[in-house]
Amino acid sequence: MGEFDSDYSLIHRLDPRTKLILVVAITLMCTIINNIFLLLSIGAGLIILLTFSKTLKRVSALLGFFLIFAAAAISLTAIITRDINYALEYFSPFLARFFIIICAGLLFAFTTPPQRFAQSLQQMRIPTSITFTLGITLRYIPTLAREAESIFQSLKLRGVHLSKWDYIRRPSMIYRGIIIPLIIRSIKLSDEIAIAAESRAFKSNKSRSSLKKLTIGKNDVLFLGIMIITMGLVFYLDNNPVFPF
Amino acid sequence: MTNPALQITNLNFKYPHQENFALKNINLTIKRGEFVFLTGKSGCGKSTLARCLNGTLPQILGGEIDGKIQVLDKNTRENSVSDLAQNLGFIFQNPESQFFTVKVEDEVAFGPENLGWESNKISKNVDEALNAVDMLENRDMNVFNLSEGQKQRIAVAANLSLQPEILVMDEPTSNLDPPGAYKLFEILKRLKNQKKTIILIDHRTHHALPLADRVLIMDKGKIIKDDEPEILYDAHTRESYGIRNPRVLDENYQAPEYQIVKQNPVLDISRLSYSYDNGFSIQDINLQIYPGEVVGLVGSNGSGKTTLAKVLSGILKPQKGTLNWEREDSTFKVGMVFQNPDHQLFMDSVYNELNFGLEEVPGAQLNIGPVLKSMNLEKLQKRHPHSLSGGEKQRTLISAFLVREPHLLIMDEPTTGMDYYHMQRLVYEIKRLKKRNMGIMIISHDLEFLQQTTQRVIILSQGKIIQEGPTGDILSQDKLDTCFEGYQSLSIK
Repeated sequence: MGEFDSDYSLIHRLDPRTKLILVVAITLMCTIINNIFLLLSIGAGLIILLTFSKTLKRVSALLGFFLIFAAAAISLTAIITRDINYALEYFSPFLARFFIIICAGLLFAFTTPPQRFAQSLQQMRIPTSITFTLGITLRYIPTLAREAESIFQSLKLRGVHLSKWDYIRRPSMIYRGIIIPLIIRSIKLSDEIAIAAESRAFKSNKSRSSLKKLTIGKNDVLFLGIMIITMGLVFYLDNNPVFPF
Repeated sequence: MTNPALQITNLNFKYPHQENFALKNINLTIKRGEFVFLTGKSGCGKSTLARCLNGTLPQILGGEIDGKIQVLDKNTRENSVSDLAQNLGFIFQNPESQFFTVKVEDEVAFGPENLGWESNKISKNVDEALNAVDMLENRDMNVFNLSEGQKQRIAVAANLSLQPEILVMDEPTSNLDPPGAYKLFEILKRLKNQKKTIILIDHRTHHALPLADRVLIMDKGKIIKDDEPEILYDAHTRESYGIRNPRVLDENYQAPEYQIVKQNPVLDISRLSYSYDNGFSIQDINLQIYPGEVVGLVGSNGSGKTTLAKVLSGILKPQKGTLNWEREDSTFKVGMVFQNPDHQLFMDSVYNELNFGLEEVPGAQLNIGPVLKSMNLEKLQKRHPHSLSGGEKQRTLISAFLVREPHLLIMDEPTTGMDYYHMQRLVYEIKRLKKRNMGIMIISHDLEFLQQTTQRVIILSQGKIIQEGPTGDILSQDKLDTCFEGYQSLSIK
């Protein structure tokens, strides 16, 4: 959970609303942009932000998995059609957009503490029942991951070594060995959470106050400014191509 | 005359879909500023009573309630759990499951924020609460980077920030090592001096005894004894109601002569090392475990006990050193029973649980019948494992490993939350397992249990074995401070 420490990097310190604007704006923009080199440039920009926020290492496995999927899709199409140019032209924009959306989502998820995200939504006057549920869901993802790890270790101890292929080959083992114990633990945890929340005066129908109010600071304004200028430039280049392609 | 902190009149409670009452005719008055220690066998109704006090039962978890509970000026049937929170704070066994945020100050502020207080008032209360538990300097820390003891202190602070007059604590020391437990009781002593009313529920009686004004003993849903704390020194009372000895080490303990034949160890470990990415490591572990030997592994939280157990059990691969098993050819070498058995139960009946994964172990299915019989599980073999009691789940898990005939069985904190009666049953089971000629390793903070089960004790500190020897030599009062850093705290009485 160390990655959620708010002073971990400048990106971590940004207001969650700033990062949310980035995710929404980039998602919308990449559906409009068609130039593959501009799309790749946006992707590269997000990789720089991930590096800057010290989260690239943590997300590299997920990005690697996506890149393998992308390479497989292009290779398979090239083999079937016997035309590599067609495969690249057909898949590249789609995969580049997908890559951008994944990077933006991961940047947000890995640099925003659940509590601050919930608080930012609360300040946007979203009802407590929604913001609290969302905050709790994000907060308990690492807990459930630890529960799943313990279950995997328990299976190993009983001599059951599951490989990735077993998800297809032995679905009943996955269901019995992982999903059922995880559901049982989740139900127990959800009871504990409900008791703990109400024992500390939580009421879903009552608005909450905050120890520290989130404010859009200088860094947020600077970040949003750079973002707007960059996006404007990208739109300009998309409509007035200066490159020969 | 001031009103009492708590007044319970003719309380009866029944869980949903149950025929029998879990609480029967409870009448109790607790004065303001009193420290009440509530104990008794597992399943006697202690936690049920605690959950009725803050309204969790029946408001959140359901059930039928009859009678009246008055918490200061509020009746639990007319006020919600949230409304009662300012009168009564509730602290659970596992602090991590009650954390909603990742930062210490946010966690402590969670309650006041729910009440809609102004940020200045919240900040003041957060400071005071953190100060009360000696955690003010950790205000900006990530709660998940704290030790177990610190986490539990944050859980206390998170309740104190709501300024409740009453604190109910349900087995708060179960996951703590002795220094962590000592620090928590130091804080409780301070809170007692500040006239907080404290109701402590626990099996471990050692630390509570010097602080308690009154001891309540429950049995089968009733309060059987309401007496002076000194009643816990009475061996007859303790044995009758399954209560642990307040003296951590039994003064009548006679160390058995160490009679293990040091030949053909089931496991011979040489220069074993393992490092995590965060820098923590176990280093240069040399150890032999012999057939029929029960070895205790002790040390503070974070000393490397569980890491060593995970390396021995094959969950983690050693980065240096060797593990030589007596019978290298056998398919199954080691079994490990976790602290929380829920992670290790997969099937829909006890029989199927024992049969689970046996296709990889030739001939093991033939062992199921004899193991069910020897572990006294024959009558339970059709029951769903998750419907069993804690002790029965543990027995099912041990059996699931026994059918595989392991060379070594590791048990991680097997007596967490266990009363004297159930501890004695486990002692009996371990004595029987010893006769199977396998090695047994017990990781525990429970010195009374280790005294009764082990022949040898190993002390681990900062990833290294710092001492080992026969149990009688290591677990003596004058050597306890070497077991755990800060163990001199046992002199609290």
